[in-house]
Amino acid sequence: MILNTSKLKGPAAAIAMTLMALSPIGSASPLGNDPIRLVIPFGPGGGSDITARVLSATAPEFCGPRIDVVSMSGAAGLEAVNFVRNAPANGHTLLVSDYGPVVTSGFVDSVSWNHDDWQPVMNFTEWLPTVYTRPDHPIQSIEDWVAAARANPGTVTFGHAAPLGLVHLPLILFEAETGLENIHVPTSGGGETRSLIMGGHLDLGMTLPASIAAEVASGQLTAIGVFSDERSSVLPDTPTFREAGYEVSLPAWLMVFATRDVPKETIEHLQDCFMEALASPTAIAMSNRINAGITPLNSADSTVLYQATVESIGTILRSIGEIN
Amino acid sequence: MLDAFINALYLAFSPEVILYVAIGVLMGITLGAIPGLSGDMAIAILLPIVFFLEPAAALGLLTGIYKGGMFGGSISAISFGVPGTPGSAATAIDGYQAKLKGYPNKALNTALYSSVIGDTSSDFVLIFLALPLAILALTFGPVEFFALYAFSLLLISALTKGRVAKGVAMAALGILLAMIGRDPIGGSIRLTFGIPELAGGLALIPVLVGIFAVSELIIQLAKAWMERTQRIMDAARMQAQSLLGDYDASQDKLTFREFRATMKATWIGTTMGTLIGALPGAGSSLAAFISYGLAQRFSRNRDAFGKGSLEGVAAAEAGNSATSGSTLIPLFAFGIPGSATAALFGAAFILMGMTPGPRLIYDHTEVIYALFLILIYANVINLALSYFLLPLYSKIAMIQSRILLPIVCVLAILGTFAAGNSVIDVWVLLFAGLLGVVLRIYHFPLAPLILGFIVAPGAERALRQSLLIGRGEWSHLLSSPIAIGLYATAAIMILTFTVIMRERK
Amino acid sequence: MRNIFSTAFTRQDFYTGLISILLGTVGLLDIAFGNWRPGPGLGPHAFPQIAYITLICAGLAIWVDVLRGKSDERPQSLRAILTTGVGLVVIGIGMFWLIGKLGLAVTVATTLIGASFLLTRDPLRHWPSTIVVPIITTAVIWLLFVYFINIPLPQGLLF
Repeated sequence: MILNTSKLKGPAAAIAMTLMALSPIGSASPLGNDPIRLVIPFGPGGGSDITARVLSATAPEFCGPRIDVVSMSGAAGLEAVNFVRNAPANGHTLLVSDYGPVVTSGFVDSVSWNHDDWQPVMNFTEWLPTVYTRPDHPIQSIEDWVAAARANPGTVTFGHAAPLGLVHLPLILFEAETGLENIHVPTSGGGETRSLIMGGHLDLGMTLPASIAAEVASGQLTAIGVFSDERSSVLPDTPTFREAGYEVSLPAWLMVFATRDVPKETIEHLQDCFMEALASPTAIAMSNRINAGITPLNSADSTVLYQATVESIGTILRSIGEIN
Repeated sequence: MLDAFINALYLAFSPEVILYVAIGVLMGITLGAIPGLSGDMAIAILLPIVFFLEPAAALGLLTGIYKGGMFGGSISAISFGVPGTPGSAATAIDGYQAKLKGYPNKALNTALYSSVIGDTSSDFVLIFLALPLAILALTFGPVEFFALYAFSLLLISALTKGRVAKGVAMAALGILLAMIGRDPIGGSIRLTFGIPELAGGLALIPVLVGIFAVSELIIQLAKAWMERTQRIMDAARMQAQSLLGDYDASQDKLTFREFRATMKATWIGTTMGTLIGALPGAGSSLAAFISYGLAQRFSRNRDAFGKGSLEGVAAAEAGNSATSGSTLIPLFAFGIPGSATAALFGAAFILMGMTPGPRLIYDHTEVIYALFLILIYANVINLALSYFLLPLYSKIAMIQSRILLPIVCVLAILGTFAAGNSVIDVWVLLFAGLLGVVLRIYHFPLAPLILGFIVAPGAERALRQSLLIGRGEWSHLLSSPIAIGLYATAAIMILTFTVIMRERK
Repeated sequence: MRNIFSTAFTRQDFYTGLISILLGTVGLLDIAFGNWRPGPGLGPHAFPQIAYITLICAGLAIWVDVLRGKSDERPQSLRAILTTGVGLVVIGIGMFWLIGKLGLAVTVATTLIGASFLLTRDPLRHWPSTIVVPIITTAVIWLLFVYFINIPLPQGLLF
């Protein structure tokens, strides 16, 4: 195993190992020995959880204290956001989120904070929304889709998770760009979208590359197109919508946020040790194993990306009349 | 193939793995018995263990926790009327009545055997019938799901004995509680009374534990309080009372005859649980309630249900546990996580570098065969451990309530908080408890309310998805033979049962 | 016949039916005149509407039952139970507030000891059950929730 546990024989050693992972490691660090909490605004077991676990497994060595991933999906993720917001500003409580609960919620929900109250510490990865279908479906490419939607407007059914989420907004943007009409069918999440597509109940769906890469490789699903500037590294054969001639690109990301009032030195320390941890061979091996495509960005670059996203999501929401 | 199997045998039956499975089962039973905490939550917390252990050992631990948790929930359901996990809510109905009648051990044993039978059968179905069942599960689209949900609502509301009207009112109330929060289709916020924290809706665990458990605790606390203030018990008698009151453990043993009498209910539960477990998104609590409803319909002692019937315990617990193997079917067959548990097992596979889906068994044959073996023998370990622990649990169940009640209350509050890390969940828990008390004292049945709450989100989504796909044509709801079959079965069942009921009178 | 109607008002279930009908009516009025955003397809109000109509029908059916002489009996010791209920909610909220101030261990121990004193009285109130059991329980709870699960509660001053 990656962490050299093969040297440890017997359950006793492994239990000791587990307890070590679960208990504070005493080492000097400006953060002290209190554990760091990475709060995710989603349920356990999803892509954000899995990605955050790579950090929680590798970073304690570099950052000092133990790191826990805490899942708070209450109030559609707003509870997690509020928990981090109300925690002491000492860098021990961080939010790991995509743009939904921070950027979109900041616009459409009545929240007590604004977008400037969040300070990106680091960005894990870029997530590229991908349109897919089953291989025996008549639509097998962006061109097929556009042709079908032109021939019979409002007949192609399109499954996506939560309305206005990161696998729905690109569709809205694409329709605004092309004037096409599809039937939007919200589902309870990626799993439901996929089973409805595989069962023949829906035509198309949108998801993130990592969750369908294996099925696309084995020919169980077809990835039609990616809403990004460049192709996805895990789906190298899938064209972008830009390649097909549509200027629609809306990649998402997974960022670690602190609140604005966390001291600058703390944020820098966290950024440094997170980046160092993710650059370690262990973390790279883990990232490859889970297909997460982790390519960390530092705090400054993440902030630029964050502000650009606030800008573009704001524009989309204004154009569809969700906000003024 | 044979080589792989022999290697898997070595993996699965290494002393280390067996020990991890046993630790897992023990942890699962303990955590499952604490209201709010469940196997799922323990798995989520222990997920990083896959970084430290060999795959077979890690999967053994997680499997053990899961199986133990499945059964553990019924311990508190029977002992205190407090379902420890959502799946054991139906178990609480008859199990707690059985305890009140002084035979907790019989009920606990029935729950254990039916749980293990349901679980084991479901595991065999996962191993040998995964693909056909998964393909069947994929034919379930919005139209079919709506038919299934409508079927279960009709069946359970019509099930309330005597006061059907009150049962229907409760189902409607349950549906309304489930509507609080964000509309799943349009995304707009409804019925939150201006409280932004309610935008995410009410979570299942606090509502369920609140309505069923906290209300029961309140009523018992009130009784204990009244006994104290009104001094209705004379001091001498109270002193004579031991810690266990007049509970006689030797009288409370499940006989083979009683066990055999519950077999029909167990098999009904096993079949329904396995089928419903294989459907993505349906869930173990729904399986338990449907099994309970059907077992009641087909029982010779229908009137005993709700009054401590061991058949009721067996059906509910078998239905709940039989989802455990089959819920992994969509994950193994298509990489689709069909439940929270399946999502966590999927995450564990991913973290170990194994991609869930049909390639899993070919790419990692030995580990998966080992997992299959573990799934089976974890049941045996569960059976053996619980067999020795149950007498202890039934004694705990009979400890004087005034010592135990405050502890159970505190555990319910902290457990519910820990399940979702949510303060709002705790408020919901307490207020659901108050609502439950009011409903109980005015003789409203609680099961239809919970069922309405469980079924409504899925039913609403399925209905509205169907109409979106069918472009507003209601006839689209009858476009599938499976759906028509379900509606027809529901109609036939309700008709026959009404006729049988009439004839009996 | 007149007799049944005049006694109906004295029956418990006349009022439970009434509340059910009122709840349904208020809900329907809210859907008709309240601030509901339209949504795609049936809209967000469709399912609540069905539930409200079901509530009204169920309420009417309860009344029919009352007229046919079927009614559940009046609840006993209503006040004691409701007081306990409200008391538990207050203690629960207070406990959560205190955890933020004093920490989990101290709060839970205090709550449990307090509850044991409330529920037992002299002949049975011996120190093992009112002091030792709560303290042992608190230790177990602390170990489980704070040490192993590390639940994200606000940290208190003590443990």
